[in-house]
This record gives sequence, structure tokens and C-alpha cells, in this order.
Amino acid sequence: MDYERQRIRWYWITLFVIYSMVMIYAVLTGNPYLYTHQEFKHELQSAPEQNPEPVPSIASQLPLPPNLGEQTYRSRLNAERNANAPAETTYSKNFVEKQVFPILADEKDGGEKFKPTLWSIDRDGFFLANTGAAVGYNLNGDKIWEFRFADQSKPLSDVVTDQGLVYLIQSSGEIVALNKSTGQLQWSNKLNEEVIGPSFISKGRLFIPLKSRPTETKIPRPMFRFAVMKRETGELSMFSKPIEGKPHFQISMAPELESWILAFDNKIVAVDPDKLEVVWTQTLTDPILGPVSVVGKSLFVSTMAGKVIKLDGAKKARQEWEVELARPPVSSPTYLPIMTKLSVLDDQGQLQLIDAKAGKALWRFNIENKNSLKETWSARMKGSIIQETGMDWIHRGWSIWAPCAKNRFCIYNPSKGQLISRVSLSGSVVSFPMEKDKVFYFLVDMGKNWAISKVETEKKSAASNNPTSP
Amino acid sequence: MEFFKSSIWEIKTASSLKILGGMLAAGHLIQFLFWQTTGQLPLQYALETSPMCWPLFDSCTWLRLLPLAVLKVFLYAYAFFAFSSLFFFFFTRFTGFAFFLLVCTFVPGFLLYIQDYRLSSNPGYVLFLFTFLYMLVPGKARLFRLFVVSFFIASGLMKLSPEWLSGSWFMQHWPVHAKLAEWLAVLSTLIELIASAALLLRDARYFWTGWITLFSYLCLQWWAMGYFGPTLFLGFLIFIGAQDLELRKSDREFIYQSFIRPEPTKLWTNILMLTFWLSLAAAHFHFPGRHLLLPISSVFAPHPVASTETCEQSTYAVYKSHTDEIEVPARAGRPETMQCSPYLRFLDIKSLCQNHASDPDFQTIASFLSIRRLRDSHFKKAFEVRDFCNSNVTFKSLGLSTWITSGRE
Repeated sequence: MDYERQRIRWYWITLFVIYSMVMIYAVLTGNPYLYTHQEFKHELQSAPEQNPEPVPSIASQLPLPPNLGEQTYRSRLNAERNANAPAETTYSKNFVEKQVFPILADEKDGGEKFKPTLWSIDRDGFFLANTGAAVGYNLNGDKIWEFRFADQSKPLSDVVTDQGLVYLIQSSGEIVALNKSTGQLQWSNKLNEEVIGPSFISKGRLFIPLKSRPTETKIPRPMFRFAVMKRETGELSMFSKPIEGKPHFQISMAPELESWILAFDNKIVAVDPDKLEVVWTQTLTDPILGPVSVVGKSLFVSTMAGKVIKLDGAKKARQEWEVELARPPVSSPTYLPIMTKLSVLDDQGQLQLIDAKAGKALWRFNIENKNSLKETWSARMKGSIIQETGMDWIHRGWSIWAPCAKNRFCIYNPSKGQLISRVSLSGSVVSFPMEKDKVFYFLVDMGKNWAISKVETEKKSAASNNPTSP
Repeated sequence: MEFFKSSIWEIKTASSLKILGGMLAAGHLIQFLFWQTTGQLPLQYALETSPMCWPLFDSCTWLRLLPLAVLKVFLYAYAFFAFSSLFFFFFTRFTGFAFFLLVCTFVPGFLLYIQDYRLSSNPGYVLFLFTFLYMLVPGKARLFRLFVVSFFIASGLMKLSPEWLSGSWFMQHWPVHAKLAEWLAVLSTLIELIASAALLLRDARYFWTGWITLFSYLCLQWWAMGYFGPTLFLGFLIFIGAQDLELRKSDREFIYQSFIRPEPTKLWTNILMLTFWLSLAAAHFHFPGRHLLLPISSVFAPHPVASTETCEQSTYAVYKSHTDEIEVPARAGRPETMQCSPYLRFLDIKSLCQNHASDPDFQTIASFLSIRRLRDSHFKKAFEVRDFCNSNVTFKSLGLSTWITSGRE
């Protein structure tokens, strides 16, 4: 120890300066994008995957139902969204509501009222959901399972079913797959992006439309992309390229065009289901109402301007005709096969028939529809009914079925609009019917709660029916 | 006892070491308050059936020998001794007694701290390590100055990773633009690397510039990160400031003081510094014989500073009549870098099974965890277990894929 302790040694200062310079160099070279507009995090994430190994599967923990099949429920009765019941089935005209099963959630606490916002109805049961919970009912009206969400503020985007599973898809991108018959949890996944349209199953894969993430090159139009998922495990298979489409777009399948037809605002977009790329886009003059009704290669749309339009899907949706109705329609047109007609309900609850060949409005009949459902559907009547009601044999019994008056549905002869049958239900008709073994199941709103209405053929009497003509 | 005697003698001769003793006692008091405000975390973990072992041990059930009542006594004794020690460090006459109380603080605190790895944190680790060194190692003034600087530099070096320099931490905590976050990351790294090194210089201009910069930086951290870690390091910075003033005073009065005492040995300081830097190197670099150092490294190397992962977890309680989506309660005090640890998440759910077991309707818990590292373009599944409450489901049986376990030695 000596007085030198008090001195500042120059080599320590030099060493400190060199050290500082090395550290500044190391820090600045550590982020090569510091002086550019590119973001380091984004550049790191866009690099190829570091560990592209598969993740462990839960398949061994959860035996899957043997055959998942295709999607079992589509709104408007089929994937083409033309509201045609299967052509091979014919029906009687005398129906009666046999049973009503109230839908309840949380029965432990005394049976809370449950008003679903989304549903899927198939031959296995009713699968209903609202923001807070989802329930499964079999066709005997027994609740088979109940699932409750943790965050009840997140809206649900869709309920999709196949033969084995029910997929609950939240708008936030969280997906839960449950065994349809037991409610057992099959898998869960979070896509962390907003779901902006209907989800569906096609060719064995689950398609979920997600809001497209902004990229460096600004996208001038609203875009989304499909997340394609494996139904068995919930693994993400791929993302599609961005596709033009606004939130809450509608989708119809067009097998003869080998396309999916998307409708939003005043646009119709055809998408190649294999490449997941846009094939063509058509812009109409007026906003479109509901989904496109697909019949072969023809596309029928209702517009908010009170028109029904026919487009040729094979020619990039070239317009064939348009017809202006007396009152604006409230739903997509329903196709009547063989006779080539369209039926649609208007904003005054009147039933309008249109010639789908010539594009001419035919008869209009006030059916005073006060039900929640504002759509018609078409189904075939039995030979005996064709005979009894004097329908044309040539049209093979295709008839118009529609919700009518208060808490009823009616069947009409399309040639002149004669009422064939009227069936009373316990509540306002909410859903299209689901038919199994000639028994119809409707979802009805009874005011206090919703219920499943079971409607069967009554062979003996048709006394309650009082056919009239327009 | 000789160790203690020489330590007490050394402390009595330097005011800065008395300040450091007080700071350590205050640190333990803060540690207690932290545990207390997070729901008596050590007692909570002690209640769970499966502890999380420290990487040093394969099994740690032997740590569970003490009954809960004893642990509770330990917890309050820890607070009592910490407070008493802090109080008596204010009085020069009672320095020896305060030192003895600090030893009494250390014992129950350390026993609580080591019983579960989930209690570990960088501030906690520094606190117990420094208290241990303060009690036993000679040459304290130099040792702590070097150790505090080493901690700052080590933390700065760890921040040279792309994970930190991308500014993710700032973007997660503040609504700042990515570019600003990148610059803030650069600035914080440079402060820790350069300002702390300036504390080793004798030139007052360099020293105090570094000191003030670090002081301001820690004050900002206090606001951004919470009180525990920054308060502790602010205390150590005060000690370094006081020690520097003391050193300058002793330099001025050198001629009168040289006969008073011999200098304490520097050997232990050098050995400990070498161990610290070697263990840090073993944690981050590959070199021959590294595996021999890994057990020491797991104890000595601090946790990484920035979280490089985000995770998504969906958990469901399955009852006989229904299934509920549930949130796994967030564990207070868990280091940010351990938030997405599949093992910790596994233990959390096992503990939930225990909580629900009393409900006769309850069957099991299903949980699905996805993790996204900074460099991943999307989330990947870490585990997906349908029957978590089954006793056959162990962490090993999950068979996690190698991408999760890589780099987690």
C-alpha cells in the first residue's frame, strides 16, 4: 500500500473505453434492423421454422368416433343453400306436433332459460349454443351434455357438426371439439385470430375463415384467409392465401362449378376449393341478401333493392335475368325443382313465386308469417297427396313449405298457391326442420324458453286443415 | 465461529458493510412481504402434493419433511428476525447482534426458499447468495462491489440475445411502437453493460456518472417491473456508493490507518468470481467439460431476463353432468421467463385436481397448452392431456417433443 492508490491509472480508463466500444458494437450488430424500417421481431418470425417436428397427438388418449363423415347440418337444408329437401323422400300432408322438449341449461340451479344464438340440428340431436354455454340434446329431448365457457363475453362464431364431433368456434379463434354423443372433450386449439365468417367442413377438413393479418404490402380490400384444420386432432394443416371477403360473408357450395360461392355486400366470389384461390369475382349493383342459392351451374340471389337475380356460374356469374318484386324479399330464393320456380318471402310476410326460367314474378299470397323464421323450403309430397290435392303429376309433388301465421308452418301447391296443409306448433318457428324417419324436428321459441318440437304424421284425420286459395 | 468473528470484526470496521447488512435485512423483509402479499407462497406450495425440484436434485420429497405448522413458524420467524436485524444495524454498538439476527433470518428463509423451485427468482437468488457470502466470506467490500457489477454485466450480456434486442419485452409491457421498443432494448443493454463497468473505476467522474445512470435506470425499473428486484439492487448501489466514499476517505487518511489492520484475503473473492463467470459461461456456451459445471451453473446462473415465449392454454373441468372451461389461476411472483414452462403448467393443473377433488360431481381436468417462441411463426402444442387427474399422468409420460425441451437444460 502506498500513495499510488490515489492515482488513476491510465490503462484502466483505456481498457474501459475499449470495453465500452466492443459492447456498443455487439449491441448494434445484435439487431441488424435497428436503422431500417423493418422490425426485428417480424424478421425473426418470418424466418424458416427452427424445429418443424410434429407435436404429440392425443389420439391415443381419446378414441375418435369411427367415421366423422361430412358436415351433418347446413342452414337452408343443404350445402348449395337452395333449401331443397332430399328429392328421394316424399311426405304426407297431415302433421301434428306430438311432443315438445324444453331446452334448459344448468339444471342443477333450477333450469335456467337457454336462448341459443347458434345451432346445428342433425339426425343425432340438437346442438345449441349461446355466448355462455353449449348443450347437446338427443332427439328424445334428453340433454346429453353441457359445456360452459369460461369467458362469457366472447361471442360464439359457429357450431359445426359432423357424424362424430361438434366444433364450437369462438370469434376469438378458440375452437373446442366435443364428442357429439357424450360431450367428452376431444381437442381444443386457439388460433389467436378473429373468426370473421361461417366455418364449415369440406373434404374431411375443417375450414375456419380468419381475419387476414396486415402485411407489409398494404391490402386495399378487406381480406380473410382460411385456416385448414385436421378434425381428428385440431392440428393446423395450412393457411390459405388471402381471399377477398368481408366479415359475416355467406358461403354456398357449387359442386357442378367445382367452386365455393361467397356472398358479401354486393359481391359474389367463386373460390377454388382445392387451391383455395379466387376463380372469379362478380359485382352486382345492389347488396345481396343472405347466401347465394345454387342450382347446378345457376346462381340465384335476392337483393336488398327488392330484386331476385339469376346468374350463370359457368360464365363468371354473368347475369341472365332479374325480376323486381312488389315488395323486397327478406331471404334467399328457394328453388322448386322440376317446375323450375323460386319462392321467397317478402318484408310483409307474403309468399312470392317466381318463374326461374323466364325471370317473371308469378302469384303472391299473404301467408301472414309472424314466425322468427323468414324463409321457405321445398319438399316432395306423396303420390296420394298429389292425387288428393290435384297437384300436377308432372312436377312430382314438389311443394312450398313455409312458416305461416303465428306458430305454424304451412304447405302450398306451387302452381296456384293453394294451401295443402297447416300445422300448429307450440312456439314461433325458428329453424328449418330436420327430418328423420318421416318425423320433423323444429326449434321453436315459446317465449319463456326455447324448445324442440317433434312433429309426426297423423294418419287418421286432417280435420284441422282448411285449404284455401289465393 | 472464527468465520463469524472475523466477519463481525470486518463489518465493524467499515460503515458501508453495516449499510450492506441493513440492506440485506431489508431485502429479506421485502422478500417476506412479497411472499405474504402473494398468498404465503411457500406455504401454498408446501400444501401441494408434488414439489418442483431444483435442477440440482433429481428428487426433493425429502424437503417436505417439515410439517406445515413448522413452516408457518419459519415464515413468521423469518420476518421477525429480518426486521430485528434491520433495526439493530442502525446502532453501531449492536452490529454483532444485528449480524447474529441476520444469520437467524437466513436459516428459516433459506429453508423456505429451497423447498420448491417455483419460489426461485433472480432477486431471491441474489438476496440469499449475498447474505450467505456476507456471513462467511472475508474481503466483503471488494467481493460485493465485484459481484454487484458482475450481476449487471451478466444481465447485460444475456440481453444481447435477439429475443431481448427485438424489443419484445417492452412491447409486451408498454404500448410502444416496435422501433421504439428496439431502441429501448438497446439503451437498457448498454446501460447495464457500460454504466456498471464504470463502477469499477477509481476516477470519480466515471464512477459517479455510472452510478447515477444506474440509479436512474433502477428507478425506472422500479416503476416498470415492480418493487422487489429494483429495490434490492438500489440498496446494493447505495452500498457501492457508500463504499466508494469510504475508500476515498481511507485513501486520504491512509498514512494514519495503515497500521490498524491487515487487509483481508482476496483469495475467496477471486475464487467466487471465477466460479460465477464459469457457471454463467456453462449455461450459455458449449465447451469441453461443460457438463461438469452444469449443476453449479443451475444454482449460480441467473434466469434469463426477457421472456421469449408466449403461450395459450385452454383448460376444462370435467364433471359428471357438464364440462366447464376454467382459467388456471395465475401464480403471483412467478418469473416472467417461467410463465410458459410446461412443467410449471403441469404442476398448476395437478394442484387444481387436488382443489376440485372434494366435489363429488368432479371427474378430471383436461388441458391443452400451446407455446410460441419468438422465432416461431405460429403456436405449437406443448401438451394436450384429457385426464390430468389420473395419477398415471406424470410429466415424463407426456412425452414432450424435443422442440420444447431443447435449450432447457
